[in-house]
Amino acid sequence: MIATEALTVVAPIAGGADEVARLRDRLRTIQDDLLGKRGTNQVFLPAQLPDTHFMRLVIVDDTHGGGELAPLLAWESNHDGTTDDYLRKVAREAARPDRCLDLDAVFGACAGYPTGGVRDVDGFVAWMRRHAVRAEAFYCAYPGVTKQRVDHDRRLHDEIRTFLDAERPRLVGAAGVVVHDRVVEHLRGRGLDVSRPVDGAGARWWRTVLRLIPIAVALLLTWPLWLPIVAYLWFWKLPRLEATDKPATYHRPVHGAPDLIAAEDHIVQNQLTHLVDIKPGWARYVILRLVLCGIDTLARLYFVHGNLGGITSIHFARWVIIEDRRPRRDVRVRRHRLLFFSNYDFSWDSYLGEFVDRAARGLTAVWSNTVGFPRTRKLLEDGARDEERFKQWARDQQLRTDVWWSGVADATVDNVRAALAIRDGLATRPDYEELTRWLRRL
Amino acid sequence: MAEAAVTGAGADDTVPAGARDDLQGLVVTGWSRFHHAALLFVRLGSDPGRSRAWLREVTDQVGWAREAAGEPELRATRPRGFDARVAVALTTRGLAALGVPDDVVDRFPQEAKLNMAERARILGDAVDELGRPRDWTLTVDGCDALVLLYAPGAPDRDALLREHEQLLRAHGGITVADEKSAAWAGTEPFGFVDGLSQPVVKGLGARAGQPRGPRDEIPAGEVVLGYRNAYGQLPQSPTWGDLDLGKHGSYLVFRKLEQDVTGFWRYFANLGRTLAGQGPVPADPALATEWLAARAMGRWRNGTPVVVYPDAPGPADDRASLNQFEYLAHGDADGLRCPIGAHIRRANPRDARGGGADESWQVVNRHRLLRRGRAFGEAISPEQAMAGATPREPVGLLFLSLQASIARGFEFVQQIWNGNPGFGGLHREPDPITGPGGCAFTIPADPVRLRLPDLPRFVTPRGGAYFFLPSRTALERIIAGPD
Repeated sequence: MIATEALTVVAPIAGGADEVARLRDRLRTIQDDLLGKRGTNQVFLPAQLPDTHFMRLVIVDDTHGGGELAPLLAWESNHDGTTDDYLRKVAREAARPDRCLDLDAVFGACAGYPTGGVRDVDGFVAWMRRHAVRAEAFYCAYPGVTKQRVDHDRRLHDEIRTFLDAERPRLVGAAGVVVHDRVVEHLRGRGLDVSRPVDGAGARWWRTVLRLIPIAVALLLTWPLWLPIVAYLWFWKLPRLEATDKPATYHRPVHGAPDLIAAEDHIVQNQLTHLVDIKPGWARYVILRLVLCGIDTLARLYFVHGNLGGITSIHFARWVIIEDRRPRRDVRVRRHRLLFFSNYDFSWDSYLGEFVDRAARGLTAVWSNTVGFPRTRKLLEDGARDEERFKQWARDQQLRTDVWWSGVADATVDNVRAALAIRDGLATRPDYEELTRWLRRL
Repeated sequence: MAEAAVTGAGADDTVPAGARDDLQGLVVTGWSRFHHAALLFVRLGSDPGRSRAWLREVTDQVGWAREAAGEPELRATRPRGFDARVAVALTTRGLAALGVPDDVVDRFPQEAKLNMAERARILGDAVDELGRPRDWTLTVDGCDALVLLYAPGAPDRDALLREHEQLLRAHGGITVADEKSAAWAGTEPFGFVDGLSQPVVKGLGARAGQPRGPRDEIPAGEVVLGYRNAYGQLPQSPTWGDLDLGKHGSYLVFRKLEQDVTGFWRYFANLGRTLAGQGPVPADPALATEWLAARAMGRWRNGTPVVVYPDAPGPADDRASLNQFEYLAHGDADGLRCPIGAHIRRANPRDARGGGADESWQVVNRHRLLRRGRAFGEAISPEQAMAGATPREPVGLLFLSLQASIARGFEFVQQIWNGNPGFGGLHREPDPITGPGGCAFTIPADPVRLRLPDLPRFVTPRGGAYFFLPSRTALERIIAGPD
């Protein structure tokens, strides 16, 4: 019954530019240490966070928008269990003297952070919860699978690899079931857990379905209320918006900022932090919320097998809307921003290429509601298919990620899912066809 | 101006016949009828005027596409005792040295402006702690230009090279390095028939005798600027005033790859003796050696693909099957015939890149390279190598490829397909032939796969550089100077 959850904490940084610069320096020492550059970081080792798959810390400033919005510190964590349980566990771990998890040194830069820090567990959890922003859409390639199980099953797969490398001469020509039995016997002998794991994904799926039923019923009953609005948006408003949108123009092939490129391709995965203003006006905001709601539902119900609309290289991704926090009476145009975090396999270019090649419609439906996106038709068409301009636009809105940590640094989504499938096939002897497939994964 | 060039109403994805006077012949042919080649890496002098005079002389010798396509050449080549062809490519540094204004140079792709050494990490080359390539011995990525020289015989080629070095010196430039090819043999130094799979650029047609593949035709904009690419888009192209400087040009990648032929065949000969008769490995040690090497390459030495002929080499005269094959179509999604990690299955995954054959081809054909490389060094035969003989001098490949985007072409193929340890669901398995060594290679088999856990390194990158291969119009514009 363990779910995989997305925690996004977004909190304003207290103090002025100096405070931001100081925090940025502190985060840089953490990141340098993760890249093996210095080894001097005694502040924060993300690997010691409990039940965490991927995490990042980003200073979300407003350099693209001229700096009129206050700088924020964002913490992305992809974790197991409920947010409350997780935060409590994090606070308890952080307070242990043998741990290097000084969250106080990081979040102490934020306004209103409890003076007791992690030792004040209730205060810490309450503060985090207060600044947690719900993900409008969240995708996970192996939902309901705990970090502990990922680590265990990958170790198990490694053990099988070594065993088979050594035993192969004696197993050539053996029946599949014999190989299966020998593998299980060997793993048991090594004290590894070969029992059938608890299926957390199923529980998550059912919970979503149960939650959706009343919503679906309500929508069915109230269609006269919302159908005209949707029709108005689709047939009248959207075509007019699309005709007058101003895509960003470029005069050269894709250029990425050198500091972004220098941070990439150190392990098998990469990350993307992307921040862009939602186009002004209520219509775009409403359309975007609807699209993200649709993607979130699909991600929870349909894209649960490591495949997001044809893309098999994303571990975790989420979209978050940062509402304009300025007092309403001061501004005529609200500036809501769309923040996107992704943890993906392989290079930036291949990831963006996969987007264009296999999921252009889905991402056009999302980002056509944001400023500067290439020209679109009917919400889904064109847009990201304009490959070069889309990539340049994506590069231009990309934020430098201050700290990024992957809990499965050398494993692709395929690798993780193969290890999980192998574990699934250990407890009971699969039938012939499944057995062949199982053996070929090894 | 720039906007007009990128929206380009009426632009097509096919090169019209009339454009052949404007294209360098290298786009159409590797000039293989000239058996000897040399690469001259150039540093230009400080006087742009003299450098432009040099470029004038070189441009007058360039072999253009009309002739390469088999039509009579418009311009007589320079009288010599032998026939010769020339191609010329420039770095963005070279463009600046020739007096091209900065704002024009700025419109070139980011990767073309970088030294290849700065890309060593993503290209999978061994790097030191500062990210610099550790094994490079040839530093040409800071040069200004590359002159490619083609001649019928080795002495002719040497004479041509001397002639061009003199020409360069006479105009204030110096030679950074030169590389001479081996005599054209159609095989690469490990002894495998090479150059079988090549994309066919729409409007330029296939080279005579080139074995056709199932879906080899790609939109012209994948290789030549100024045409629609596989996304149906006109690629961004550098402009100079009203002129599209990129049109009919391409980007040229050079890599010097040294091959350890002795190490390669001794490794597989040892392995053949050890594994002969185990599972799918043939019982005869000699065939087992060939079988294992062919699994790593994806082809037998005579070029026949293992996905078509899994047990023994196919007949060498089966030209049709050399390139006319697919993986899923042979029921080989799991790699039992041709391993997923095999070199040619990575370099061109054909129908096996996911999402079904159509989607796979569509995706794969957005990353095709037009290869123009030549072998270097006097190679030894695989039999000599297995007996322990070593070549008298280093041997390998002077890799050359043409594409309209270096990022989406060469760099993508190198990083995401060949060099990628997670390619196609594999784990810590980069390319078995060109990989960094110390990694695994899995040969799928039932009931238990054969895994080679610790492959040696067979290929060592020694250096390389990125160039712009201009059209005749672009060369004339550059020669005319900025005023």
